[in-house]
Amino acid sequence: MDVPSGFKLNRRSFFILSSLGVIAGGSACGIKLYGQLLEVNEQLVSSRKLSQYEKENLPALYSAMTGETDPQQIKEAVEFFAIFLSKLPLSRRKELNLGLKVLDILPLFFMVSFLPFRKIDLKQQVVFLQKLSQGPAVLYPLFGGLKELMYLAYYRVPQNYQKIEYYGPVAKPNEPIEEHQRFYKALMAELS
Amino acid sequence: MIYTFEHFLKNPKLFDSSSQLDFDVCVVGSGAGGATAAATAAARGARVLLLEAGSFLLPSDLTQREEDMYPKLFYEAGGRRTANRAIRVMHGMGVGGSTLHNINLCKRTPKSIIDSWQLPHLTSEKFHQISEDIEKELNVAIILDKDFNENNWLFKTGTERLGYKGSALAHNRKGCAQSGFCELGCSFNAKMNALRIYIPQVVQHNGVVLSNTQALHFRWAGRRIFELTAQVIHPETRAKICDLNIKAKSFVLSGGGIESVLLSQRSSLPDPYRQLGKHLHLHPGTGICGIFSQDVLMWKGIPQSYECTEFLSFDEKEDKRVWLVGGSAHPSGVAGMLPGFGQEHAALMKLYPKMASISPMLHDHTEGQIDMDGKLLAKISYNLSDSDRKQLARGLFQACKILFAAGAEKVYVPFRKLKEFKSPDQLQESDLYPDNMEIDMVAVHPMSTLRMGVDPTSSVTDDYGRYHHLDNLWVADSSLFPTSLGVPPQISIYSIGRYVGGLLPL
Repeated sequence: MDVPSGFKLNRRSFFILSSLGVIAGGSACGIKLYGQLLEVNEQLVSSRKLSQYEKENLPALYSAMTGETDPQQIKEAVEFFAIFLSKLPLSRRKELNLGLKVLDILPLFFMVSFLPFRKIDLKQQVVFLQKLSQGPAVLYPLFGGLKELMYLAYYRVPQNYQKIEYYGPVAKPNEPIEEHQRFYKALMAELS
Repeated sequence: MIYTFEHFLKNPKLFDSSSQLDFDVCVVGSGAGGATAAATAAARGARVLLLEAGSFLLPSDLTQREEDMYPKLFYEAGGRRTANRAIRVMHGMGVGGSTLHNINLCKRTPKSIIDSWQLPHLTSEKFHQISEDIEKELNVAIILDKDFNENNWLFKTGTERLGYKGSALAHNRKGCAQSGFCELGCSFNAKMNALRIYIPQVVQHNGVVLSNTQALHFRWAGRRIFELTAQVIHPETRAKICDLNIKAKSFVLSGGGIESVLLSQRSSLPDPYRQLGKHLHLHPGTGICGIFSQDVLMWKGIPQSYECTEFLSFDEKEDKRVWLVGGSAHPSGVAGMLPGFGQEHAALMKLYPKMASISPMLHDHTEGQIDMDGKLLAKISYNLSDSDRKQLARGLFQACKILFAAGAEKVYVPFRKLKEFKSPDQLQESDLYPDNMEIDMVAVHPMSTLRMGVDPTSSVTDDYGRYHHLDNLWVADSSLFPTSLGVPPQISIYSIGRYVGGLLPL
């Protein structure tokens, strides 16, 4: 029987060892980073990537709630959702996702079409939302956060201001009152 | 010096030497209470560290856009709600705390409320004397008739026509541009708030302010806290940048009625009588809309400059506990509260320029509770009592009457199924009694969760604001108030900050 007489560092073992090293190092860094992130637990921000559920349901819900059908506006709203949702605590985002899931499957039980929310047509979606919002109080929590989110997205668009004769922000950031700025100027100098 | 996350990104070992984080006083939370306590202690010669979980925002960061400002100015991007989801609890963050986004209302806590607390060392005379000093420092002044916006004019007109008691409110503003975006932070820096008045005083007295710094745990033994662990966190990604271990002779909790409780609970602070987080009051309220023939543009000009106090009395025998104040909201706020979806909702929103709003706010007797939800979030248990719901129904009813008296063509009460009234004859107070989830409510004044009292079995701190069971932990925020105040708490929180800041041992 051949007994290895000693370890020889050839090209193959070097490759294996260095790969293992990279994997181990990467894992350690990953674990450390994950550990650090876990310390801030729920306030850890989830990624800016939308989950499959969010991708499928948010545009449908946005259209149904706001009546918006312009594909470009819907696309921009989805981009906004990705950014805004990343600023929510992870556990709150999970709650929102749960709300979306429930909302998506409920029409399967209550609508004749037997389709999930995202697949039914816009008119039916609105009817469904109306019925649900006036239904049992236990379902109402589904709406609070989602409704605020949808209209936050809708009324961030200047074209939509005009529909309600709202003129939008009036701030002229570079025209602050001088006296008030003195303190900040000093601070900013210190900070820079 | 004010440090932000950017300083720590450049140099995570900025405070690596332990002696650099050893202070006389460490204040957690930079709102009305914390900033004033810190400034007061610093002026007395203490070496002060002031921590703030939110960012240090300059006027140029305040864009007047709801979608930008909610994540920057409010916990959970403004989406924090009670556990039953019935009440949205807007709790502010950022250097300056809730004074960044509040409407600047200044009302003193009534003498009868302070007297009812029966605190030997904090009499109503003493408290009001402090409030008077604070009012001078914050340039508090009554809003003049000429500066009323249309919404408040209509509110005043309706109140006077019905012969109800009402008056102009006092605000802390200087150089107000009347843009009407107060609740998204003042881009014109006209708020005479904690950020403008007291944070500079902390800095001038060599205090250190750390923004983007989340306090995590107190470490304590016996009757003393010996260390606070904290993390500097990136405001966008929330990833940890570095750890901090802070030592101080005295620690002050000033994170407000929710965050101060969470830090206490995370740290398992001694609580033999299970008082931490109990007795929560919220001052919940809602808004109703009157539709007028003329443009009102309720979002424009100074909001909330008039009040109706006909249905608010601090004499308990009278059972009047609803305060009426002019409402104001930007589009997404209004849209979120109005019922309906799609075209029906869009039709209601078209009336936005012609809407005038009144908000009934409750001097609530309901007591809720704060518990931890995970490590850093709050579970807010609060179910409006029957007597408070009756008060709310009265407030909604009277607010409707006032809007009709002012000339409204229609009045909408935003129940889940919209209640629309076309004349005052259609109004019935009993129709406006809200079941728990039937009407969207908002609360911005969480308080009483670490309340003061002489009896340790029913309170968390003594009447100096010091923990009953710890010698070097103090509280200086709205959580100290033993009862609901029934008035906007801003001035009282600054006052309690001054009171506690003056008592801290140096």
